[in-house]
Amino acid sequence: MTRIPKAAFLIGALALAASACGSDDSSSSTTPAATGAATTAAPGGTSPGTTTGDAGTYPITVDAANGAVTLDAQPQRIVSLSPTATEMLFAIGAGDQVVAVDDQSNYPEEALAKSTTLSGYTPSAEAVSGYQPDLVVVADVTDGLDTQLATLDIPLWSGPAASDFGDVYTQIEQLGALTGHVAEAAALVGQMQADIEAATGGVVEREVPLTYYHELDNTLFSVTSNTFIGGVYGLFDLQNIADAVEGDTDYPQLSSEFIVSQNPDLIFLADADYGESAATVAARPGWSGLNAVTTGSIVPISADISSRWGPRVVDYVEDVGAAVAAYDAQVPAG
Amino acid sequence: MTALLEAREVTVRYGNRVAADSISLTVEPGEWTCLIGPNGAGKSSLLRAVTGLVSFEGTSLLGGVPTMSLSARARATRVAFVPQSPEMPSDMSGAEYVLLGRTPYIAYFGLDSERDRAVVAEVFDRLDLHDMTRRSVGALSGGERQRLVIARALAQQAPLIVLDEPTSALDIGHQAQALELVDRLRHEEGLGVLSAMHDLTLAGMYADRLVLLRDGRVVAEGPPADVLHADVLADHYGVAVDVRTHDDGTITVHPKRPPGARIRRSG
Amino acid sequence: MSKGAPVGHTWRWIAGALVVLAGAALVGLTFGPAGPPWYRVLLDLVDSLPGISVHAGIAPQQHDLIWQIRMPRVVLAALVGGALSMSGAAYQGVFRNPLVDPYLLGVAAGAGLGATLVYAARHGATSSWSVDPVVVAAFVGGLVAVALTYAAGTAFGIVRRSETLVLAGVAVVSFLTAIQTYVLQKNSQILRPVYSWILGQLVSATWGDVRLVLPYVTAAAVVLLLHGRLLDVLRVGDEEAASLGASVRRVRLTVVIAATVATAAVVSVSGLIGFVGIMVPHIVRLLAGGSYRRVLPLSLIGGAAFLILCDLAGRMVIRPAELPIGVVTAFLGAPFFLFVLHARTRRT
Repeated sequence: MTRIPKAAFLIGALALAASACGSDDSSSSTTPAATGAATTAAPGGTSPGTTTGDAGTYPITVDAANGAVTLDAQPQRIVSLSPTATEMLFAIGAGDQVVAVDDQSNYPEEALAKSTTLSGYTPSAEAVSGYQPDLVVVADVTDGLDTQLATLDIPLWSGPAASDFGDVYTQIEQLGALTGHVAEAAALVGQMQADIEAATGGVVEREVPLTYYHELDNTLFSVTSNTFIGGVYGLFDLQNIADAVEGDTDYPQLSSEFIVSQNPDLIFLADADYGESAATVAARPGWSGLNAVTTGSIVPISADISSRWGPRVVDYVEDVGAAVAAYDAQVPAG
Repeated sequence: MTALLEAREVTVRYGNRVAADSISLTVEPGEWTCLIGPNGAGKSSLLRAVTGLVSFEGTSLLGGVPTMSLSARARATRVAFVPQSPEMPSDMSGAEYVLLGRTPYIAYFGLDSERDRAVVAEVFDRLDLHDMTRRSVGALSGGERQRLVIARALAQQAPLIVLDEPTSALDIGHQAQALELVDRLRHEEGLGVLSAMHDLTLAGMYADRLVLLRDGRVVAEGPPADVLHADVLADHYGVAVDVRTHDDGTITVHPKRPPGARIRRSG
Repeated sequence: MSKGAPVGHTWRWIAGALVVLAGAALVGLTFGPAGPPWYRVLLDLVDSLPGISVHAGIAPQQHDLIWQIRMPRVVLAALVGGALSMSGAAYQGVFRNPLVDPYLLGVAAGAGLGATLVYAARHGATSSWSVDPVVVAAFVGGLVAVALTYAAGTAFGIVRRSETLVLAGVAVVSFLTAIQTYVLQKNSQILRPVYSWILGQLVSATWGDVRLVLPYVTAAAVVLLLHGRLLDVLRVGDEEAASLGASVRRVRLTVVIAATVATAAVVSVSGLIGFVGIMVPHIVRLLAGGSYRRVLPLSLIGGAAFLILCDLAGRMVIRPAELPIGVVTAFLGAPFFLFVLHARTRRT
């Protein structure tokens, strides 16, 4: 394994630091690159060189959600039990290093080829060990998995559900550092930020912001703007009707009457994969007069995209942007 | 001689209902006292009270000691209770079942001892129940089961046996068998017997004293000849009866059919 | 007469059951979705015996797999299976109903509610306690539920009869389940972990779990096994047992407490595994008769073997995925009850 010039690593570290500072919301954890740079201290600045890409610097430690994760060498047998992490790994070019993914990881196509029946919800350390992994990535650390994998000397990285975009970028960067794709990770983050910037750039100011209803299932469960998804809509200055509900849950169940009385301008169907559509929504008793229905602003959302917090979040943002633009076209602000 | 059982003004209440009202009676060793009376007269309630199975007001002494002051085990060594419909776990063997009678003599965490098993063997001998030792209770006939329950009561080695309707589920042959057995034992051992029976003839045949209860109160008591009178019985049972005393002293009671009833004659 | 025969037979049954348990444990340790071939596992086990040294030819990590991951799982399965079966048999003795399970008086509902409340309260944050708060809450919840049942029974004066305590249990279970449903409704994002917990899992078993559960199960087992004779006396009903000199209330309370503690302890680490507490005692009765002096120890040992094998099935049948152990026991439970139904209809 070649060690890239320390200078190149420093460049990568600076780029990461810059992107981390540049994200919309503040990161919740320390920048991993800074930690990495600290452990492999580069004395004095040297002339910047181009990063050669693939092989990172090892040993590397990142400060993940489940504590410090240390790898001694570039992982070649990664097992991913988190569909979001799978998407991130493939997006930063670490797909070849993945040997097995869980039963829910279905994107990208290349990931499907490595699909197994391992479950991300109740993983068995023993079953996972059968793949001889040198890194296991999960979303949440289920009961005891960390101690069991530690017993087997298998490193575990956890990237739980993001609460804001900062978390998303941090996780991508951490995976980049761990897999030796620091530059690709930085590039991905930069691209995502640029794309989001572009999608939200054309937001038209309104005196009265547009309201929306995000539907999780046909029993009218929704999300508040405290959630990550809620944050996405916040980029477009949209108001969530579920915020008006009393109680302290982030996933309240609304009633038909409430939704009708709130008259949302936009409706997003995260249950589109389960049979709901603009037609079924319009057919609900009392719903036909809603702004969203009359302007045709009912947007189906893929369940995969709305439940994950990986690179495809950008697609989500763009879909929302398109819906807002379409609405604006029909009902101009002002 | 201390009475095996002395009940004074025993009253049993279930909620607002008074089942037995100020009943007093005694049972001496070797004596057979039988409670009779219409359904709901309080016979079962009284039996349960003196056995310590329900709470009551008044005084009840077993061998001179207040029933309620005794521990369950001590009580069980003084009075053995044979219920009307005993619960007989079908896959218990006869021997295991009778061994239950030794419960009051075994410590809480203890197991049955040589002595206990010897007592059970002796009881099996006396009642001639050997073929029931290994057979499961579920495979026995009604009559055999009744003998087994009596065997269990005997294994308790208590001087007083309380029988609640001991013959109601038996045919006439087994009725006679069971009662003869109890009578024989009380004479041989000097046991005291307190029973409740609704068959007046049988009650009169075996008991030394009858206590007639009505609505929880004692309305007549004494030897069978004194209590089994047609007018008294008609009054309390509400039906006309015919009471006959036979040459050997046996009294039989049977209901009289109302006048005008069509009587079938054979032949 | 019945001099020494029943006792002698009992020891033979227990010896036989222990052999079955040893066999099940061996099989459970030898096979798994990953790990060394079975003969190497056996060699490694033999190697670990004091005084014997054999070359097993497995990597240290494989050795750890067997000793730190598989073995605690097998041991925990044995403890859980044994505790649930023995407690089920004990409850059946107290309530004189062979179809009663150890969750009758509310342990399951209370434990489930406790776990649900913890999941709802911590909003996904990992806890900093040394013991998993879900475990503590489930244990406490299980005990509280049964205490509530007893309190309700006493308040309404129905503790006199064992059978009627069941009614109080039904009321408490309904009440606690309603609260749990409400909490889940208000916190729908925890539905998945709670459901997983309810289905039961041994997949995450560690030696720490074993250490946690062992003292409770051992203490309860000692108490229950000592009550075998008294439960036999109770078989003739509360009233007759009292007339025979048994302290019915004391026996009932002691047995229920011991069985509840054992059940709550194992439920708190392994979730709600159903059917074991009914099936195993039933099978034991069919084989060895209804005397609790046998049913209790044989249920303890047989239940341990049974759950070890169920757990093995759970991790092998669709490997590398895990079949929740509650699903395995439910799969076995359905034909079991049909069999019971068939046996009863044939008899009558």
